[in-house]
Amino acid sequence: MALVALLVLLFIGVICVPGLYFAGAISIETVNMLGRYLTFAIVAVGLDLVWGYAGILSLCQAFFFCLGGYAMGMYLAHHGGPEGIVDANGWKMPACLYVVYPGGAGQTEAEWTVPWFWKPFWSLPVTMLLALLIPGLVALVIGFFGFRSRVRGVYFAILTQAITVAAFNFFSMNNMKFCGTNGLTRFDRIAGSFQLSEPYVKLALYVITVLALAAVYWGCHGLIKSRLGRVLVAIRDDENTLRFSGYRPYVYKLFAFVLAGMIAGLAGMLYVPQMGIITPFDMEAGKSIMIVIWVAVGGRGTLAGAVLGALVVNLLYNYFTSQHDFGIFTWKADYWPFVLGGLFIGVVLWIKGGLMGLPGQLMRLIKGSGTGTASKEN
Amino acid sequence: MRYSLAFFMAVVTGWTLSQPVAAADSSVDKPSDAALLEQMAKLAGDDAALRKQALFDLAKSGDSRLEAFLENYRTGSVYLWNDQIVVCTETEEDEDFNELAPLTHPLTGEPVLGDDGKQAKPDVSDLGDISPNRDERKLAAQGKFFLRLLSPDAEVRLSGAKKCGDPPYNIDAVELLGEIAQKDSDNKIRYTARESQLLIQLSGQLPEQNAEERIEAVRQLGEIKSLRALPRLESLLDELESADVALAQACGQSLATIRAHQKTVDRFSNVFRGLSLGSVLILMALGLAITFGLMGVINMAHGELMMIGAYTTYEMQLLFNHVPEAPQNSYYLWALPAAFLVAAMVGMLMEALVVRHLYRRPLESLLATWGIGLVLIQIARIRYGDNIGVNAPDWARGSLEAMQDVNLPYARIFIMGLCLLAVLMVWWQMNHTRMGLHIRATMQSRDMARSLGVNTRRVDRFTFAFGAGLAGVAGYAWTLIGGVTPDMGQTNFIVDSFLVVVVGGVGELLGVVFSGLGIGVLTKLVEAVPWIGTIWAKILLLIVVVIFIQFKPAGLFAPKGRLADDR
Amino acid sequence: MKYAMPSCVLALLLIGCGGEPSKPQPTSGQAADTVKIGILHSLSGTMAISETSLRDVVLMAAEEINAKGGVLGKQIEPVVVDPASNWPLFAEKAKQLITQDKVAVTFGCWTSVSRKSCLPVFEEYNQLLFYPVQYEGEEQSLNVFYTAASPNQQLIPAAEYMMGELGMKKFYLLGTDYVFPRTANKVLKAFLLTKGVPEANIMEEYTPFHHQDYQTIVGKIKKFAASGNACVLSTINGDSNVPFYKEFANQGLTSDDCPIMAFSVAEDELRAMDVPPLVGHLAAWNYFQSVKSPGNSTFVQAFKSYCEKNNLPGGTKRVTDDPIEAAYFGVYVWKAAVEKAGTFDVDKVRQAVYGLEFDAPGGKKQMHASNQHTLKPVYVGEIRNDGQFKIVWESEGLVSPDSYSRYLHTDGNYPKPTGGPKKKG
Repeated sequence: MALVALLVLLFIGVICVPGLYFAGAISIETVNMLGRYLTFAIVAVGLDLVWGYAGILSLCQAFFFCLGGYAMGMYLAHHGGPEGIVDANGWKMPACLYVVYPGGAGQTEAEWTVPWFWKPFWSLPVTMLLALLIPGLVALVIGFFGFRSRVRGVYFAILTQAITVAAFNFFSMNNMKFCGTNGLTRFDRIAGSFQLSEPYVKLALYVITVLALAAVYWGCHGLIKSRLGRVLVAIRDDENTLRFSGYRPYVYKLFAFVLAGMIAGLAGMLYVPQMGIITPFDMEAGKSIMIVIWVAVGGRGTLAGAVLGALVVNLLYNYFTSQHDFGIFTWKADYWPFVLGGLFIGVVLWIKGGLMGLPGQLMRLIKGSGTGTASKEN
Repeated sequence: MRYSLAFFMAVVTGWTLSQPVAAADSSVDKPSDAALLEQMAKLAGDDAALRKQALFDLAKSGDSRLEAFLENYRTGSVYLWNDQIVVCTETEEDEDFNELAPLTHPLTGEPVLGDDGKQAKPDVSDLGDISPNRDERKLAAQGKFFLRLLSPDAEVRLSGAKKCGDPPYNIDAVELLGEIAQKDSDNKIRYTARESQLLIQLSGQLPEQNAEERIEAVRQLGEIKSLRALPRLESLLDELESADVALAQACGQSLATIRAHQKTVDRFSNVFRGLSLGSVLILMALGLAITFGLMGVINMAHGELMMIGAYTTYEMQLLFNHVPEAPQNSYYLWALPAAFLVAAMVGMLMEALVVRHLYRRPLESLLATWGIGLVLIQIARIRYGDNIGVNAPDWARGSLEAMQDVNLPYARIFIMGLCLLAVLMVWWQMNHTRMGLHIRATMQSRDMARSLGVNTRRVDRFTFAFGAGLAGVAGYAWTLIGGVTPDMGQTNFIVDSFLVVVVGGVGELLGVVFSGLGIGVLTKLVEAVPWIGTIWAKILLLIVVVIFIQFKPAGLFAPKGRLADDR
Repeated sequence: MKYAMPSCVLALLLIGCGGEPSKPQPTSGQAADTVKIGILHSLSGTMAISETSLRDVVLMAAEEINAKGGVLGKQIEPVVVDPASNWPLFAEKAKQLITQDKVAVTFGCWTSVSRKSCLPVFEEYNQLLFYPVQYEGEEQSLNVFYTAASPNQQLIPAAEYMMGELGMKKFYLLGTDYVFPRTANKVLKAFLLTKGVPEANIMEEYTPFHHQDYQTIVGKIKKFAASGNACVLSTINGDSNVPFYKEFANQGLTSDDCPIMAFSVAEDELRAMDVPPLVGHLAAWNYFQSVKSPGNSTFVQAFKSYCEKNNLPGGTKRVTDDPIEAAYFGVYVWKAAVEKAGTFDVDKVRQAVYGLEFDAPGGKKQMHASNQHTLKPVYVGEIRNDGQFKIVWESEGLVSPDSYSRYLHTDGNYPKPTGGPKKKG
């Protein structure tokens, strides 16, 4: 079943969409947009692993996403920007940093320097490594202390949310030299000489994202089917019993959490070159909640559901924030909350187990036998 | 900057402090309207010295109507028309786009009548311009403050007493200030006048003042622990030449006294600010402590329920037609039950339509209530737009001076009282009513409660509506100190509310009180440290919360027994 | 689970197709007798508070122009999108407007970050954006026309007013921590230092976005202002203003004790405030509703009746302010430029905008001959009891804009403009 899902994903992602593009049916911007939403799907799969299977409600996935994104953003900012200046030590000052650089009043540009923590991100391999390692490390620290002192459920959610809000405030500060609320922008080239604005580069980034999603999906699927995956589910269902049976749940939880953090970092890393900007607002408290919502809409505890949820919610969001003329009436752009709000309520009320549960429910409805069967709802 | 002393003395003598109202209006020596108009006419003249003198004379006339005139003069709204001094603040346009100036009388503010018996509206170009230069504008401002000293209105007098002692010092006022410092009926005005008088003496701008007098002023400023003297003494000490040992010594002593007093003030204020922030947080979280803490619904629409409370307050303001010019202060009292009831009704609807299906799957309530929140925000936005203002009732403006330099705003005192009341009400409701008993029973074990004959449907509905109503009350209180926007819940409240509830311990009402106060006071104490600042204070506080959860993984008041594992 | 995957595929395809607006005719926007313009303002989320008014006024301008025969004989067809105060969505929507709706020009953005977010899009496709909000400067893109103030058209005159007219000696620079206040305060501080204000008399303080509790800061201001010659230069943004002013008044401070000169509070924001305690505080803008000019009363009336006619919230109680005026005349500047160029071609329109003189509601104004900004008059206003401003100072004539501040680039070394026509090859 999962294999089918994987093949479908690859079929649509790698063959249909580029095919449609080459046939001229969709524009490169649509491909680019799908690429960005697929990075959201990657984060969602990561969250589904910890929340859907291990039962850890984490509200800092957006933070991990941004850590990966900022790493990539710093790399791109180093190599982008038309109006860059050279600092006192001969380093190219990234344009976005230059605009918000908190040099003192009266200080000339010659006295500004590129901060030390920007320097490792000059090289692409180092950046890619750090974009995975940093979120992983941060997740390790949070998880180590959190799980060891057995912080659970909403307490863990609020703990991670507090960290995210603190990080948001930290990254927003102008004098932290992370470019403040304006974020990292003014990108130009990636991996040497590939112009980000070129259609083929956009297409390539899209295909890489599809492949990354496929790999993450398959990897997570394999994990869940393994013995370790069954332990994770056991943690979700009854952690105490598991502990009494001689397991140390926190090691497993930590593993899943770190893995999800790195997956989010990967997603962020793929997102930034396709978006062109990363700002602290991408790690607002609300953004992490949105990730949880994607998973919940798609169906918690089904990896394909996470992918589906992320895509559906974002595509609807995108579609309904524009004005549309439907002939009978004109859809106003600012009415989108009614559609999304309605969707969230509707999914919860009428579809057990998210969108992934929809076909099953429809089948039962058609066969008329669904009434008696008790769903395995928690 | 000399003035005619005789004239000044005449004003002062005529001004009896026991009846300031009478004094301002019926003084024998008060110049007639004609005399005033004559002085005004001089302002249109070419002689700069004469214009200056006219301004002085006007200021010292003590006629409170002149304040408006001087203000109009300062902003260039005074004109000469047919050899008459007139005022025009707003011009109009006729059909042919000529700019017309409706004229008013400089003293009475009544319309100046033209030949046809209606208000004269000559073309702007027919008016003679009287535009003051920069010095004259400043003098006019000074004159305004001087006039205020003679006002019958205590608040105006206070502001005059203060401003006369601020740079550029109004040295002409020093004797009048001395008079007020002795005789005024109002404590605060007496203090301010004395302070200002001393500050003028300190400034060293008074002619024929000897060194001892200045040292005495420094000493006395220290004695009255004047905050306004603090920066001035500091800069004086910086500028002093080493020879002036006596003055430097006096400065040092006074500064020590004032600083010691300010330290006390800071300590007191910071605690008050913390308690005030704490009560705001408690009010915010109290409703959530019920819907989320007791019922387990992850109520993401909690902030929107607060928004509904705030908008209900706004509707009540419209209903009572409360506008700043004609305050209807009672609207605010009626708005309290209204905010509670409207929010409770919305809560009840939410419960009946959505939430009741989710008691057995709390995690999905996050999704549904987030959706409800989105819809509520956009409904409010379409109905009201974004920019609406709730005007506070008059009694919630201003502050109580609890001790010298410690101002406790009435609005915040009110919120603290409201918070206390709300907490007591919730406590009584939960622990001393039959409903409370049913609520606790249902929340502990829904099935058991039902089997014992509790109507759990009714209990659920009531509990959720009760929590929602409390959120409405929080939104209602918020209008006194914050803004009202459709998405105020998402941007300002929801994160903090959950934080407070969780830190307190889910399911424990007492926990909310302690964690709210704790977070409030801690935030304000940290923020007050000069080198930390607002943003770092926020980050540090969040870190403290994270560390706290490490040690208390189930909040301040961890639920015990069977409940402990449920959440 | 059995049927899950096929349905997943189905849904994906459906939605995927749905995300693609059905616009088979690729050049219809230009070919027909209408021309499309994009309106890129947040209608939901935190910025809706400011930006919805700009959408309204741009729609009004389009309606007015249409009633008078349109642009080059074509009726304007506005395309409204909602970027929902979500910065990446600004870029997304800009792309859609350009590539799918094929708009001739876009009017939009409020925050700097939203502009930064969609700037690469406008540069990539060489399209035009009219940006109607005062900002921190330090930017000059050939694809943006900045119709509001650059720092030297707002900050410096205001600081001069505080020093000269009010005799202020101490300055409390208070702002929300983002790029406009930071840069503004940097410019202000550099200016004050050159004017001989000692460093000790300048305080700088920043608060997080949406900060709501100003008790401590107002306490600090109270001490700072005890010397009697101190003022606040405030760049507090958005919804933080209401609690700040309320706390300021509630702690017993008035404009006599310590006047606040605000750079982000206009008439529209005052609608959300409890005005009486604020009387006498100041703001510096390039337009006030109370400006006397031939066109202004007509404009104000037209806006009020437009809001009432379309049942917009607030109705006739709506007010105009600086960004609203800037957004409004932006449409007319574009129209005039198109008519001057005789085409909708972006490069030709851009050339036509340079140096263009025009009648705005607030009086005669002019586009700069090269740096994308607008020459504007500067006003300082005092808040009146009715939520309007009394103009207490105005500049002599128009003030020329600096895209890069001379107080930050003391060596006169300004970066080159970005964007513009695509280079071949």
